[in-house]
Amino acid sequence: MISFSQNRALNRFGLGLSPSDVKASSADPKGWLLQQLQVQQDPGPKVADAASSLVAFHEWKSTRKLLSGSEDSDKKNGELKALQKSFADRELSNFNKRFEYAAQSRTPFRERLVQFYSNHFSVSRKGKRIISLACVAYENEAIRSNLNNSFSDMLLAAVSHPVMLIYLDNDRSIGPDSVAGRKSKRGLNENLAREILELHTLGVSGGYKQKDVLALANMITGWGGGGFKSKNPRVKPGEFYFSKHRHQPGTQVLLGKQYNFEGLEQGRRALTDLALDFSTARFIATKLAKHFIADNPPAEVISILERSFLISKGHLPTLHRTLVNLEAAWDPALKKFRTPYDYVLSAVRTIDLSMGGRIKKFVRTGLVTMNQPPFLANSPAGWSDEARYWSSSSALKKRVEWGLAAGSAIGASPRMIEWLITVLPAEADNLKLAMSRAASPAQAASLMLASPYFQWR
Amino acid sequence: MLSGIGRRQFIQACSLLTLGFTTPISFANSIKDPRLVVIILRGGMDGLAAVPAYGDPFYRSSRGKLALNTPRMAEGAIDLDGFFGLNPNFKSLAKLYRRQEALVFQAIAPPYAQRSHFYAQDVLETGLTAPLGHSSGWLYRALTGLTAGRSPEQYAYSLGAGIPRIVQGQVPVGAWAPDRLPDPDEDTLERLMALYEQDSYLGPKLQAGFNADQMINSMGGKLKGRNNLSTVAKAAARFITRIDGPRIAVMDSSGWDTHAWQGTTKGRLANRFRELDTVLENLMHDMGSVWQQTAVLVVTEFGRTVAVNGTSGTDHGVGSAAFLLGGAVRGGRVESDWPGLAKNQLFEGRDIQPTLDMRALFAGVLHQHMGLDRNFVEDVVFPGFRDQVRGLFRTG
Repeated sequence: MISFSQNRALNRFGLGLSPSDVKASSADPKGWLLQQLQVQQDPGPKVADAASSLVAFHEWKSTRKLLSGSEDSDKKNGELKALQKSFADRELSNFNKRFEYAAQSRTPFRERLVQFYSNHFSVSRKGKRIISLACVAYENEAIRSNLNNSFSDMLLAAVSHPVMLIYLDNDRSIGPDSVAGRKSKRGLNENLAREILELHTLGVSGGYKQKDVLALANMITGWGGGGFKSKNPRVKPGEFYFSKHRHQPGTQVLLGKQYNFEGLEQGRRALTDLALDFSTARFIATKLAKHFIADNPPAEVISILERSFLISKGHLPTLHRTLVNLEAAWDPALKKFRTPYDYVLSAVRTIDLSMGGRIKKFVRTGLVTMNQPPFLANSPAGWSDEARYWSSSSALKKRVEWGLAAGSAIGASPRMIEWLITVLPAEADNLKLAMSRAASPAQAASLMLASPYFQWR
Repeated sequence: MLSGIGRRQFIQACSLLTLGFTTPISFANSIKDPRLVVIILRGGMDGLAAVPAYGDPFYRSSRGKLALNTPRMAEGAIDLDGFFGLNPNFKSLAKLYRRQEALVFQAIAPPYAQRSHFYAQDVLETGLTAPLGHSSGWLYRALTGLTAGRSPEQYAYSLGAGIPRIVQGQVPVGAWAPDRLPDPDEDTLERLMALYEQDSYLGPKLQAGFNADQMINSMGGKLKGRNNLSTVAKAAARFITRIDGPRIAVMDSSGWDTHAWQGTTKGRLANRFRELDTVLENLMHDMGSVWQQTAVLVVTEFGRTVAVNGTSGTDHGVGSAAFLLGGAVRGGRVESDWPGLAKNQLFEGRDIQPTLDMRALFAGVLHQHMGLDRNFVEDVVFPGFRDQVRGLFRTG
């Protein structure tokens, strides 16, 4: 039977009781978590990079347009259908690779952190089909690759990433007094700037005003993804491109501070300052505490994390060490409800499944019916991680139905069930009893995946 | 003679009276057994695109290429009162308006004059000017005065994935959303429910989830469909027309954040309008005679800029439009203290200046339609707010 603290390490910070994690964490659960923060080799799922994925979408769209114009309607419909399918397959293959990478990871705590920040800098393909082939690459390039760096590195990487710039319309934003702005009737779009302040850095009560939104929006005009039809040899299609032509000239004042810089540097300086702001430290500390500790974390937990953020200048591994070392992280009275993504992932890892076709389908159905399909959050705020959001009676019913169906579909071996009954912690005594009395291994697996024990971490 | 439920309510009301409390339900005037449906349009609906003030002298110049044609022109707005119109995609809503079953509000907003979606939605849903992180929703607080012997879980339902904050509080409300999973077998389910008995947080919720499923499937078979407004509105009608069903249904609609290429009579926003219009029409049909006891409230967290932005869309603004419809509504007019569209009449030179606090509409619905005592509305639901729009309902 695993100890209380091992159970905590595996569930609260990890992704369930996979046999290899149970083994690796048995001697020193906390040490097992801390050592994951140092890992250098974490390339992420192998998918095409974001730039080429954006180009691929563009090509796909052109082909579709060409086909739609064709006269032979039978041929047209068939080919359009095939084209549509090729797109959906590619999208799906990316998400499967991402899930598989997380399902097989030996550093589940890192996976949880990647998910946390990926959700913090959320991008969604809802209404933005153009980014949908590039979302997984965005996560690799902007989020995962900065997990060992500081928050300002990640912030800069995320909000200057073409996928984010497209998602929040900054690629369309033009400084009104820029060369392009004076020539055309198009102008500023403040969407990304507002969300940077509200969701990525200071937080909604972080003390900024409408004029700060405008100032930041002006400072990041010209930040966009390289156009697909550009004749400029310096523009690489789908990669980040700074267009001086669209950049609003002149000094800007953000939160009372003057930014008297030229071009790209102006926005960079502003973002670096925002990343280290007191409000940002408080906002990130609160969000981390809410994600890992409790929906209503004790105030002192937030202040400890906040201090760690400020002292380390937002050094993420330091902050995450502080998180693991918090006393509250190991307090039996505090718990969190698993989000659907964590739930499905932990289920697959715990029953140690390889990602065969059948499981892939189960995973997809699970994420869709439990309403957390990859990169489809309803708003730039990303997904909630609070119990009250995910545990409505109807959501819970669906989760339980999925757990029951998954359990009976996997073909769990009697040995697997026996092993689980031996390792499950004392707090799951009732579940262990129910599993040992189950009518079949399938029923035992169903009961475990659908049980209350499995919903909490 | 009193029916079973009515009798229980009556007895409970009496016992409260004898204890020295007044029951928060005021029986005077309000309709018998009222129903309330709330649809929240998330993302900030462009109220001026939905309800164009085509009679305003500055309408055309300030709206630019997003201005609709005037009524009777090709693709023109549907006229409402000679000054305001409706987007031509609101055909059913216009019909209800002509039948005097729809009220249109223009230049309305929750008490929040900035432009964050999430903060604005918090204000809209908590009914507080400065919502604390964990304050309950205003409709939830209203429920505590309305349920009369039934639990919030039986009295109000949230349809669709996730529970909107407007009905979040100490006790969960009921919930339902469509799904494609197989029904579990009885034996496993029984064993599982025994485990859930020991979880005081999740146990009752799971039980309620299975109960709701049973309730809806017993009417016209299993309801299938995508998890969108159209499917959940069908479910809402099934639930709230039942004698033992909930009396309040809440649902969400997303996709109203039209920063780019929003279009006028066709396009992204027009599609959303048409979808909403169809949902409203179906709701009316599906509710049958209960429609006469029903009020449907359609609101959004804020409006959008009057002017077009650099990408043929609009950015977050303040004042917007709202709708109240149903057989119980005294409709057929636009309620608006119209602030005007001249530059100096706009809020901060860019948005429609809100002239009606949305809480006044909510308070009116709760008091005049749901029969909630006025003091309860002003003390508990919207603490310290003492205003309501009058004459919203035929009975009021």
